Amino acid sequence: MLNRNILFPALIIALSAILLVLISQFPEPRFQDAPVGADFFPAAIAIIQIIICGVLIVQHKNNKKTVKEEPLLSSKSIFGVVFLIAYAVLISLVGYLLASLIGFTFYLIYYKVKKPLYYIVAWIFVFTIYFLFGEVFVISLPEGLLFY
Amino acid sequence: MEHLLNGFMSAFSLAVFPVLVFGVLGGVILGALPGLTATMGVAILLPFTFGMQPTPALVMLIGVYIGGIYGGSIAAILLKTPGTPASAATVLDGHTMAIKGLAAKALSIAAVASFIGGLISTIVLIAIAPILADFALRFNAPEYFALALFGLTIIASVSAKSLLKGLLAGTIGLLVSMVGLDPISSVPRFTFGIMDLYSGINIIPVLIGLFAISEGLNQLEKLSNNKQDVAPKFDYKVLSFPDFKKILPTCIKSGLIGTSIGSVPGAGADISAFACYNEAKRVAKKPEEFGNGSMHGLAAAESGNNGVTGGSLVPLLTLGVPGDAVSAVLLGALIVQGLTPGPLLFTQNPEIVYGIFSSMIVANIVMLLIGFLGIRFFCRIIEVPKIIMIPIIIFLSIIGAYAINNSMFDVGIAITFGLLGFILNKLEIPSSPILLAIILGPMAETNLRKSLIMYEGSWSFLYDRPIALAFILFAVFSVYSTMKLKKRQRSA
Repeated sequence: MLNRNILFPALIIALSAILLVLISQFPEPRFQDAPVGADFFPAAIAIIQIIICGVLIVQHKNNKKTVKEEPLLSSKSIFGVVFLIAYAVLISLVGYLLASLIGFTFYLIYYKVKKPLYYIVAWIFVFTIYFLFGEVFVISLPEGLLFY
Repeated sequence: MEHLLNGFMSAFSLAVFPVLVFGVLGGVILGALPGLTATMGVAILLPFTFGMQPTPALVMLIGVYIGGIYGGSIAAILLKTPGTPASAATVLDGHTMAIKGLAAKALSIAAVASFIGGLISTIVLIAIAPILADFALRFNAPEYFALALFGLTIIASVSAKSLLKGLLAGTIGLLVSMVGLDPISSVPRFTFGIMDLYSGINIIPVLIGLFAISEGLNQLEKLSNNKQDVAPKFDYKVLSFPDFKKILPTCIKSGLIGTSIGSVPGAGADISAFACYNEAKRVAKKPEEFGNGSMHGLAAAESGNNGVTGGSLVPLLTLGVPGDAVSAVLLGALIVQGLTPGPLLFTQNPEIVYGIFSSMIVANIVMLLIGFLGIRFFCRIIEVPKIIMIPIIIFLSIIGAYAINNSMFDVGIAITFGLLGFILNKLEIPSSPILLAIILGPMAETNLRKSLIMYEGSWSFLYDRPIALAFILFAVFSVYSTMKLKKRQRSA
């Protein structure tokens, strides 16, 4: 099985190679008086990145120690990622207030929280932020595409 | 001296003192909220000053600035969520102290160090503002490039275990910083036709993602199945006098470095905090403690970022050149009040200039008092059960990312970098170098290319300009001493 300490640098090498191709396709500026162009820095960094990743792979291969790896993403972290993305989508659809009330309540139900106090704290937090941002600091919060 | 005494009388007058306290308190609250920077705080309150007299108006905004920079450390220490970019270095030791049960001590160190940094900076501003401004005026593209290069060497010291992994993170940050229009010839780079990418990737959502969202995901993963988890136990012991004596030299040194960095236009509190942290680590007797809850590390970062507050006003008040984004907003406030920043301001409106100076000293004292009086209140945050705290971190992060530009695109950026930070953490690749490279990358690239244009393609600016050469030598020395230190740590 591929080790993450090899897989990640290998992935970065592949991405850097793609970046080098993209860099070579940068449009030419209409007027160029500079000794180095827009492609100089990104190309140099991408090459350095390939070298660093190459050394990291070699270093790992030479490392005799075998460490038992935990999975990169556990079920809890997968829930976290899905929750995060779902909240961002919801907030853009129904706005901050509704999305946060739904999101926070769903989260507490998912974790089978039974204490009513936790629900009350969650809702108070949502309304406090709404008041603080909207009324005190006059910073607009997402209103949601459905209510726009 | 007479002007200064009059300034103090003005600072304690009924017209000024209440707005000063309001400004500092508002700044602390704004700074503590992730995504709301000191710059944003000053900008938000700017319209409220239009109808005010010049002195209270400017004093209130400067109070917000000073309070905002300190406020960022509260969230950084307690939630591992830097409220402002200036507090990114505070996370390294401040949060570690908090999870060891020393949250009150960490907050008191942050308050004291911020106070010392801010006070030194103000005293320097009063005493040698014109001299420092003259020095900073000599900076040109080669000096800025060398300064950025020196800043980038800090990556070596913030790379916890593996220098190579730190460098890899640094290169990721540099590539991210290159998204958008090229600063010299306006060639679009890595924009893929997406309009939001043309102006580059905003640092704040990146910071929120790397530090706050990834931390939220980390905490979620560690969340025990027992939901009613016990709140972490910690004592309310604040900084003791012997500890204060220990950190005092670090605070003074960092305050002075912060003031110098702040007086250089373009170099802000974020760069200063990392530079001071690096310097404190370099000279420390026990550098291995840095990153593991070092008082000196926390004090250096906090004194360094607040040291910028006075420094950034040096070029603003003496030359009319804003040192950073906050002073650019303050420049607007001065103009709105009908004042023209520059040498003439000292002769034509000394009561306003010295009113600002005196109020800065008072604002730092108010900030210290708020910092100490609020410790018990702030510490309650860490007692909130994690099951409640995690969604709060995530929600604040998302809202903070949105609030910068009212843009869901920035929310996407924050989430992307949150996931990246989470994965990098699993691979033991530090996140701080990414942030550092995003801050310093554009400065390094732009000024290197400008220097090459100035010198018609020759690289001789690297050695024939004394200030640039000094920074380059500092950079070489910094890398050398860090590598030597890491070697010593490995063999120990």
